[in-house]
Amino acid sequence: MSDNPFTQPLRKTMNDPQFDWARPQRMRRRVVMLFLALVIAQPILLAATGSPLSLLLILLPFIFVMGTLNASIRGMTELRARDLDEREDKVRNTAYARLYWAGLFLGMVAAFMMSTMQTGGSLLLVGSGLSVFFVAIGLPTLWLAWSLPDEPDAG
Amino acid sequence: MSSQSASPSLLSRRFTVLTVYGGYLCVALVVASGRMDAHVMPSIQGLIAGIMAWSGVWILSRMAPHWRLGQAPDAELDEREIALRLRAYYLAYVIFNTGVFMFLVGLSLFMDIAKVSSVTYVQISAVLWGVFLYGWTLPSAVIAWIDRGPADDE
Repeated sequence: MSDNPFTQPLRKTMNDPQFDWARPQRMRRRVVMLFLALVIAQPILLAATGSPLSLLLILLPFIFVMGTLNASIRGMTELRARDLDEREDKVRNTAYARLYWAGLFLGMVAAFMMSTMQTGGSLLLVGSGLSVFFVAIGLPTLWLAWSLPDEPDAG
Repeated sequence: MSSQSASPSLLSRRFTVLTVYGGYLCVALVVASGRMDAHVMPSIQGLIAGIMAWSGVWILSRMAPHWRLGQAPDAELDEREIALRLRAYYLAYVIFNTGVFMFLVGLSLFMDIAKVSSVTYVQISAVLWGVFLYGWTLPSAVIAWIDRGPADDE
């Protein structure tokens, strides 16, 4: 079995010891803050440059941060139920249940902000909508990364 | 509480969910397309969308055990029902936000192709009532769709 994260099964990647550095709660919270900094910076950058191509500048760090967040919680929000143990499945589903109404609200706000793109809305508004949508889809991951306690055997 | 007492069959539950969701989608598309504009006032069209959405909620709430399973406090549910409910909320969350994404992509393509540059009160009404219907009922609808009863666990 390869150790390449791009070729090995997702379940193995998410539990790979190479991401142990991201798993302590303190580090997870830092990555959550980094995620929030990125979603705040994105509409500002978009409005300042006036070009959608500027989103590419955000894309690479965003992929890194989101991937790190997922690995830091052992892929609880990414993996299928059969790849999780009973406790992980329950923790994951509980987080989604708790955040359902918040996610629904954020998703709607994002949709309305982004739909102004077709009717002459400013780039700042459209970019903010995109950021709110990122938060909506990432909310359970952010919540778990922020709130899960340190793993018992963490050194 | 048991979801098995007086519960409609899996097939009829799925048919009900498809009918309500598909029915509202059809009404919303007709109202939002402007085909009614020459015959029906916009306020009446908004009202039609609202009545359809409320009717959808009412029809889905007739699947009583599954509706309650989606909305009842944990204390009233057994372990299997709580696990089912949590899984339904997970699926509903994913479905809803995927739906928002698909809606935005579809809207963007449609507005580009049809050269539409503004939205009307009726179109916003249809979307808002749709969010109300789908958002509120989705967890219960997912439970009604996936629940095969305690036999599944054996």
